[in-house]
Amino acid sequence: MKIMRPKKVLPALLMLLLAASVLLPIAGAAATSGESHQTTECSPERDLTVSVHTASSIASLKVNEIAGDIPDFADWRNGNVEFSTTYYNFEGAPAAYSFDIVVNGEYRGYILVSATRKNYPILEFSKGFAPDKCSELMTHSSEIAGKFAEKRGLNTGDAELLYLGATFYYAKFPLADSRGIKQDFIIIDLTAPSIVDESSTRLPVTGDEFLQQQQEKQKEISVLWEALDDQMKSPDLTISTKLVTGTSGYINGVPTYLWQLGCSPTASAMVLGYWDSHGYPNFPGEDPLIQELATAMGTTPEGSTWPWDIDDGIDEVCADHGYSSMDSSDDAWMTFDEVKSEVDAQRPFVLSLWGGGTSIGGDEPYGDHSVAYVGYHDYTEDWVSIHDTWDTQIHNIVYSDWLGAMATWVRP
Amino acid sequence: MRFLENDRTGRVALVLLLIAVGAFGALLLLDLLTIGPGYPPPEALQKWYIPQPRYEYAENGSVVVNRTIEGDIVLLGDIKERCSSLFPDLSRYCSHAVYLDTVSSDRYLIVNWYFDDNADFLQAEEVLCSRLRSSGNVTSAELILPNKPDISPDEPITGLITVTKYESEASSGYFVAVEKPLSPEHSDYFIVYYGVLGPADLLDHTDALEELMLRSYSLRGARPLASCS
Repeated sequence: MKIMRPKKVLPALLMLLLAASVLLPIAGAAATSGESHQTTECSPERDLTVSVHTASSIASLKVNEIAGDIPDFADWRNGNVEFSTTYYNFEGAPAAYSFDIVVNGEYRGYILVSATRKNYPILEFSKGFAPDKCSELMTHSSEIAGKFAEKRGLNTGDAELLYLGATFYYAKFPLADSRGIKQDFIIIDLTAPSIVDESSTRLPVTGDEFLQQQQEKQKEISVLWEALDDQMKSPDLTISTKLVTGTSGYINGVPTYLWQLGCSPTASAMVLGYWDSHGYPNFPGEDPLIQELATAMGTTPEGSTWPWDIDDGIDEVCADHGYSSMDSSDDAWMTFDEVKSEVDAQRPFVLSLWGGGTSIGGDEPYGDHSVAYVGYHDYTEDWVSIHDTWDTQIHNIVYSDWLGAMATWVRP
Repeated sequence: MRFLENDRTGRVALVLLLIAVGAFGALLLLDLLTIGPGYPPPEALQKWYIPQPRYEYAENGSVVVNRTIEGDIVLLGDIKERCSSLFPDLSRYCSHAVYLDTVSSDRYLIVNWYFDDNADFLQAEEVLCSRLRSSGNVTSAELILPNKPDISPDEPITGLITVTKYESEASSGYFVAVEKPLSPEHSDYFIVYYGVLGPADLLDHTDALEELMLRSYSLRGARPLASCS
């Protein structure tokens, strides 16, 4: 079967929180600087629109900050930003500008800068494509709008792109009669092409709690913009760009299995699943492998496992499939150097945590949990990369963000 | 003599008490030292049955997303942590995703409702069935799912599941209800919808929907919506 690569279908990895985390230190610095910004507060008529030129400068600055702060985006360093699209709000005012990130002539992602100081300066950044860059989505949206117009005896005009917040990318098509006079419009949700009821997408404007939240949000937004103003005025824009030096290591090909029967058998199955595609092909598929491991390591019906049984269980399952030479062993005194060398040797292993903290960007601490260990980042702060059994993503957690940990090495 | 006897009994009782306390302490310690279960939080279960993209390392160490789910089917956009507008908000833990067949341009919708309470789950089934009947045609159907390609040779080749078939102009597909699929010890309930978007002959899309079901979490024990039967 012919497999088409979704080269145009790589929509946004929305990273609003991450963007906020990048910007929060700036906000903090501004809050403690003691500098007055009363002129802005006393200027009620101040134009809050951000020009494309200013947004472009902001994008350039932030692209380098992101490259310095987030290892996954390190390849964005010194990338060029090229203006791409203006998005509007329902009222037709500019809401955001997107800029393509280009490194050595190659597209590497995009960054979305707010076109108004009423919103956070950086709205999104991603290595994918914004939905309006996906030709299939745009074509489908045009077809839906066309059919709708046809039923009413009207024609569609050129779409105006709307951005109403993360994942809310819309296209607004004008509907004109045969004389070309605009009669109405239709809005299509780009990410799941369908007609949007405009009234249902507007936020409620009543309720004390909601209004209070909006006021607090506006305060935070103001602080961020004022800090950004100061930063932009700085003669050396690179001052805020952190220089990150260090090394990373990673292992590709470790499958991501979702939790079954217990975290320890699931994490162990991911490690053996890796070896299954790296020279040890006798292991069964995901479900039976997890089942065999759970039985062999005595996982309770609730899903708990005695940690010192994990290596024995792995050894037993390996032997059952003809791999007696595979040796797994527990190490309750592992060091970061050891885990680095294990990754550099391309050997994933099981990491069992007691009182594990929260992954970067996550919102739930791991507690007592086994994960599959697949990489490391040896920077000023050391991170480990894991498959956590809760989804298919690669998560990072600060090394030693736990009360106790034990490695179960699995070595052929 | 009686005093000495009482003294000896007291000492034995004390020793037994110490042994009991020690044993209790050891059991407590053992319980504290066990790992797991590491149960997924509701925020993860909210999208448990939605086939997720694969994340891989690129040569430069950055993480890239592979949105191909199976063959020509790719995840379109991101998994949205909210209900689809086509169906009611049955649970606060609801997600949906749209997939595109890059050859035929057909689009598929998967919706996952998660419940941690059986009463809420049963009530949601009733509400959903009522809404489905008012908006489309609801019947029962049987699907034969081939096992995952990497399944053990000892496992049965196929699995038969009974589902609720739904057909409407907006979307047609199959609903399943799954009870406690992760562990019989943990109260998790799911309603999952696998459907094609837009007016379509459902039979033409059943193969693709079955592929998506196979790329989901295990549907062992899945049943049709009780209230629709």
